[in-house]
Amino acid sequence: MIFLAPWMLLGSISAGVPIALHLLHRGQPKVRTWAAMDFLRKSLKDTSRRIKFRNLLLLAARVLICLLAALALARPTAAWLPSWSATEAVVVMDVSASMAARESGTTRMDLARREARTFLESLPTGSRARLIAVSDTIENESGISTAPARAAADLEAMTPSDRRGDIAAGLALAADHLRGSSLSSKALVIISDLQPSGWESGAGRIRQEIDRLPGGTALRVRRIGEPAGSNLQVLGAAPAAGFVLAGSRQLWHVRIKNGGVERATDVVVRLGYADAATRPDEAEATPLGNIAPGEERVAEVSLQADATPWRRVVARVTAASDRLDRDDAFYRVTRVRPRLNTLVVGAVAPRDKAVNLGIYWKQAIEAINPAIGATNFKVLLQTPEAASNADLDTIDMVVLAGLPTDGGGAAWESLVGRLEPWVRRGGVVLAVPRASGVTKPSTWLAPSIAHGAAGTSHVDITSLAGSVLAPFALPPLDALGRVAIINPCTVEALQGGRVLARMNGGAGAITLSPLGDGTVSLIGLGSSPDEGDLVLHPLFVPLVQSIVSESVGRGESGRHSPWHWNGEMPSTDLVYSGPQGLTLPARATPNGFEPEGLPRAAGFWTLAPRGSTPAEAPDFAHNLDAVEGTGWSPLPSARIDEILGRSSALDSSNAPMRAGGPEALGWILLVLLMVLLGEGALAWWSGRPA
Amino acid sequence: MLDPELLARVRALGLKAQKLVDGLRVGELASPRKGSSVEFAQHREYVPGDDLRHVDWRAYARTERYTVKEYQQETNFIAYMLVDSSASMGYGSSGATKFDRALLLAGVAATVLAAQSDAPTLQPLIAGGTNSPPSPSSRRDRVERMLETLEAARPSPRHDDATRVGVVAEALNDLAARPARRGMVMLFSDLLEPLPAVLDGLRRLRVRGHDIIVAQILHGDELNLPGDDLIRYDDLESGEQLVAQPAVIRDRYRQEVQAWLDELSHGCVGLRIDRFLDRADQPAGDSFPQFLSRRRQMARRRG
Repeated sequence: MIFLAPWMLLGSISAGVPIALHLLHRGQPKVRTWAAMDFLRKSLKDTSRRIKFRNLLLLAARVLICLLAALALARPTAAWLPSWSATEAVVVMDVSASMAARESGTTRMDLARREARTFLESLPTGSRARLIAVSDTIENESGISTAPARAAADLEAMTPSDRRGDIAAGLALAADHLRGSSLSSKALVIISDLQPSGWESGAGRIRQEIDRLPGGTALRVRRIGEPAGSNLQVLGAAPAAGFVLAGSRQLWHVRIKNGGVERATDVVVRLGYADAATRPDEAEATPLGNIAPGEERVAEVSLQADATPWRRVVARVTAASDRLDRDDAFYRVTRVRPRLNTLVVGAVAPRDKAVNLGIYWKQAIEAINPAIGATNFKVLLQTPEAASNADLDTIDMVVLAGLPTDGGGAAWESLVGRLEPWVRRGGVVLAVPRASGVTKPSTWLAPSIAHGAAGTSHVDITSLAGSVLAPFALPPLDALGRVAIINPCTVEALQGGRVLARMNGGAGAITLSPLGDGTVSLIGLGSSPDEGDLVLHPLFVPLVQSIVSESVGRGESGRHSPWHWNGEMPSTDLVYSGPQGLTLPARATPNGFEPEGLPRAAGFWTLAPRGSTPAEAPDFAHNLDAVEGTGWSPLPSARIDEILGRSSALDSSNAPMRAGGPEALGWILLVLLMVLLGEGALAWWSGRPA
Repeated sequence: MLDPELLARVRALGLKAQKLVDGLRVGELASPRKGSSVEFAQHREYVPGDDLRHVDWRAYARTERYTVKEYQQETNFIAYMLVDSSASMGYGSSGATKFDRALLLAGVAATVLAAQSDAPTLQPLIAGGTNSPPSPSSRRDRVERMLETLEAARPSPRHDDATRVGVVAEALNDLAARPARRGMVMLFSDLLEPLPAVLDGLRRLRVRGHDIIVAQILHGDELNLPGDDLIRYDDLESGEQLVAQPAVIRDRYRQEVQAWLDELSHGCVGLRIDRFLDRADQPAGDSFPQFLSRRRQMARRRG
């Protein structure tokens, strides 16, 4: 039994009033002297038991009246009581990914269907029902209200998606529907596993929609599933170097998390290609042992890359105790580069003409080499004068080490000028400016580079949050914040770019900006030892590696990024085909072909003209939102009450959910009336001679 | 203070022994054992029930008012007047207790008897007190002194179980055991004590040849048990406390009282004892004269 106004149960305290009156009344009778005691004694002897019985009955009736009145005011909804009248019912079904979790031989979705069916079948004759399946958007709904039996049949078509939950979206539709209903009795039932991802993010909107419900709507929230169990999630998978070179075996980092409340045992991570020719058991496997609840780990798995330019990579995690399969895989479309040739351009050292100041950067990039002995990974070091005539078609990345802020003269300016169209075609530039005393906007890069404050400065590691450099805000990499930078340059992002790090004082220190199909990174932390300690610091190599990975890997695969097609492709009637036979219409946008709506299922989605077989057509990977399945425990009932703004709407019982609602009030009032009549008769009877 | 109206009515009716009693002053008057020879005493107004043979038709012819002739009884007798002074007689409002009513009735009766030259003796019945009655006398001052003594024995609430032995029964037995002359015994009591013992005492007196009148004095509350709320009843005699709701037990209570009264009445009839019930909560002046009138009629029927 659920109470819509449980605070009114405090009224049951009034049941103590008749008891108190009874005791007080009994304790303070009038006193009268008397002579004919024998008659009194005899009369009492015959009647005292009957009188006590009547009085107790009367007291019990009065206590019952108080309790029933309090109960009625608390507006109970009782599933075991039949409804009085036809009801307009809306059932909001949570079909987020977590509803696919296994529960004692079945799934949460199956349990939810069973609850919904029981509720719909118990609706009184003449009722209407509407089903709304919701993940983070409206997944499916019966459209108009229909007979409960018809709605119950529609339940079978509802399956969990691979999306996170957002109950508010369904509630908005439910509120609109109920407000437009002509039936006086209204009921809203929400069936959910109460994952924080589906409730916390839209808490404010949920409250707004609940407040919009018509007065008297019986609101019930049915919790599905138990919090016990482990839940492994693959949060991401990426090559350790940030890019993949053809023909080499490279390390990949696979991020694993146990979002459940119990330890995950016998955890194994597998990494492979999602091609038909590659069976899952042939994938590279790495055992991880056990993972504690809430623990996050990075597994290193090696994977051999062939010469195929684009590969679909799948990382999977398995554990004996896992209960949710949907988030056990991570999909990624990865570009396999036939080569990565880097040209490091550095100025000659003023004191020793034989030393090129780009040597530090050359060594750092060479350390990135993802595969020992790979012949398709080369790093060249040249002066600006030599590089100005270099064949850029054989170069994939250019590092401008010590680019003077005044333009650097003809050689530098010539080289930088050649780089702009090259970057737009897909090249990657890492520019490390050097303070030369004058800022001269002589090149397309110059406006983004300037002198900083004179003297020594440091990186503000708090500015790294949220970027690829975030690990440098944590020990031991946070030593970056103590590295002295002398006369740093300030850098700004190009249009559409972002600042990855700032100096103390707020000036930009590292930026990363897209330009056409390429990337431009500006690093204002000094290019040589006379500009600070960075290039000789142990953190220099990992910092350069992070920047290079982000720069080179940009655009290869985004978890929700549609494919950017450069070739010939009909711009009309294109569809994305995905897992489970699902399709999504595609539309051309400046950024590529985007699906109309987000994919429902995680996996690889392939773009092709409608009706054709997607073979080698471009595709993109869609993954489960990492928050779904994180924090595996359902929200506590107090939090649900807080979000709803109503208490005791949550029904966590194991009893089948039947239509009840405020109709229970009518039953209680009926019983109350009968008890009142009984009390009156009893009072009359008690006043009569025994 | 005796009620003059009541006194006049009782005096008019007279209080005569219905049975053979022994005179106090033997030889002075004709022997009662030889019949009812009388000597004219006075005229009085006719009241219903008077023997028509005693109507003075000559006086009627002169005055057109019915008067009857009264004759002086030849033989006077001793009237033992027992007034219950137990605590239960104290029930009633101030000045209108059962004892007050008993005092009034006994006073009227004693006054009338003394006026008839009979010799009343008034004895309060007190638990543990002496059972020796004062000497009977028809002298007015002696009667008044006995009334004062009686009034001094006004009951007060006692909380002693020993008083529940039965003051009336004890007094009756004591009187029956005493070698007293046959006379009239008037008992003024509520008789709220074990009835068999009371009836046994009355039977003993009756066996001794006494003419007995029982004036039972009860309060209306004791007959009807008024009230609706819960009441704690404190026994005047023992201090016992009982809590009851009168409305609930009233019918049962009345049945008990009526059964008790019926048993008492039946016992008195069997012993040929005249008894009347006087309610202390109602005005005095009716029950006693009516009883005396009825008694006279009954005596005439007996012949």
